Amino acid sequence: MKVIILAGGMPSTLTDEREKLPKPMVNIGGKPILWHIMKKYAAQGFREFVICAGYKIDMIKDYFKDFYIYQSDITVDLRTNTIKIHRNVSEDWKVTVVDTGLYSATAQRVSLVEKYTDGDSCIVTYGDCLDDIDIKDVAAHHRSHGKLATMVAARPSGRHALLAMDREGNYLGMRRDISREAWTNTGTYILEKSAFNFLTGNYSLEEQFLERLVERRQIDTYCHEGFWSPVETKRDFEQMQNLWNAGAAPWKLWQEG
Amino acid sequence: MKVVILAGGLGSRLSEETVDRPKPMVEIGGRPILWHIMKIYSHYGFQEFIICCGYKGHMIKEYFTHYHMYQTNTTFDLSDGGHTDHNSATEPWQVTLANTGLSTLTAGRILRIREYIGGDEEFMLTYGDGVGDVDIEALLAFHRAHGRIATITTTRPEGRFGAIKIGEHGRVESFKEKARKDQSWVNAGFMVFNRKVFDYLGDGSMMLEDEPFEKLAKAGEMMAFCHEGFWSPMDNLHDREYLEGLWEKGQAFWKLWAE
Repeated sequence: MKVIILAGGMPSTLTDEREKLPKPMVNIGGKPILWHIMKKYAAQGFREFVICAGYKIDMIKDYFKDFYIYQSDITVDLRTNTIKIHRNVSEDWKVTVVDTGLYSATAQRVSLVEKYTDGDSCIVTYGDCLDDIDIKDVAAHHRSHGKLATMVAARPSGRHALLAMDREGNYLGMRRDISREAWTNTGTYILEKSAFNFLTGNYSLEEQFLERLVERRQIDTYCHEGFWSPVETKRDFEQMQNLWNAGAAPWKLWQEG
Repeated sequence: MKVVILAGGLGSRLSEETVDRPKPMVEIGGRPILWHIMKIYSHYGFQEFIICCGYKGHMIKEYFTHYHMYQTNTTFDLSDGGHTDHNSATEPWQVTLANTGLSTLTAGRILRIREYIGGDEEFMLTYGDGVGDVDIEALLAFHRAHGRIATITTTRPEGRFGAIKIGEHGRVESFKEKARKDQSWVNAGFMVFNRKVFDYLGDGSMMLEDEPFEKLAKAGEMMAFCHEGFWSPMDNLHDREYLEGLWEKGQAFWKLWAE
């Protein structure tokens, strides 16, 4: 099963670099967010990726083209212009980088990479979220429910306090268990190949594709109780960096190589 | 003999310049300061370098993997993706770029490149942010003559403040303008080590200049090569502008090499 990663969005405002980076290329602990996401999927046994790129696609292509250079120690001999690689610590990944346009919405990006998928189903995920979703369990859930799509839901990351109210709008006071009732879309899906038929036009996955599946009762949810966070704001970014630097990154499901 | 250059630090004091690049890649006269340092060593016949990369190390790797192409005339054949560099002479350098971690301290960085020193008895080490007209040949001769484990090059930086001698009731007795000989000696880098230095680095979780240097000094294994010539670090924007100014005026004291 291939992992489709949405990495084509507009530039990140997370860092003060003069040249804006595509968001998935912003570094945490010296590695792009995209790398973190892929390491996590690889640790769970998924090593084939399709990157839906757009904004600054060249940067993403360069990253994978020179991946072994970034990962390994190298010796450049300028007399002969040869490069020797020491301790090759590359990955056994297969990465397809696809130009899905500068202004495409997410559903259109996914539809444009259909030809690079294989098998009956695929994973779709955002290139700017970090999580410890057990994707194998999601896949098992998806197969057993037999719907065209399964959406992974998680607890909101808690930026906005949830307010406990009854139907008449009466405030019910501080209730610790209020978040037990709230769920949000993580942007991680498992799609059947035939679900691609519903990806038409330049819409985001949420505004059109999911609606169509809802009408047909073809979408299921998988509730993920663990960690999930977008890396959208500077605050998110700093939190993720702090977790990583403290050696407490929940999404780090892999062992140091 | 191999020359190890420490190029992994964050360089926070030069923040305006190092948001986009690691400090050794900050340019003087359109070339990274790292290049200038390598040219100094190259002038004395040292052509093998080991760069300890860390913060934004990929930029240093890219610089050297592209160096040959950027320095020569190139024909691209777009039909098969190949390219040919025409005049092949760039620098006679062999540059090893080692990932030594993002926040590793200097002793740890040196431990991580140990395998690239190979069986050599001696190696050189310097910082990726300081230039000087250090006589590397004399430095090595000095190191070999004394036979101790470590030699550091020391210098007295230009004084920034004039010294005033004050007598009773605050009477100014003398006023001395920024005398260099009154400054204390500082570590300018440009070091030479016997490989025994690896025994002093512990598990690498410290700065080279702290415990390892203290132990070496205590054991009488560290000597100072006093450099009376020019030397300047590039710690801040003021330093960078000073060095850039010298380069522009053709007064770059560290430019020992001919065009």
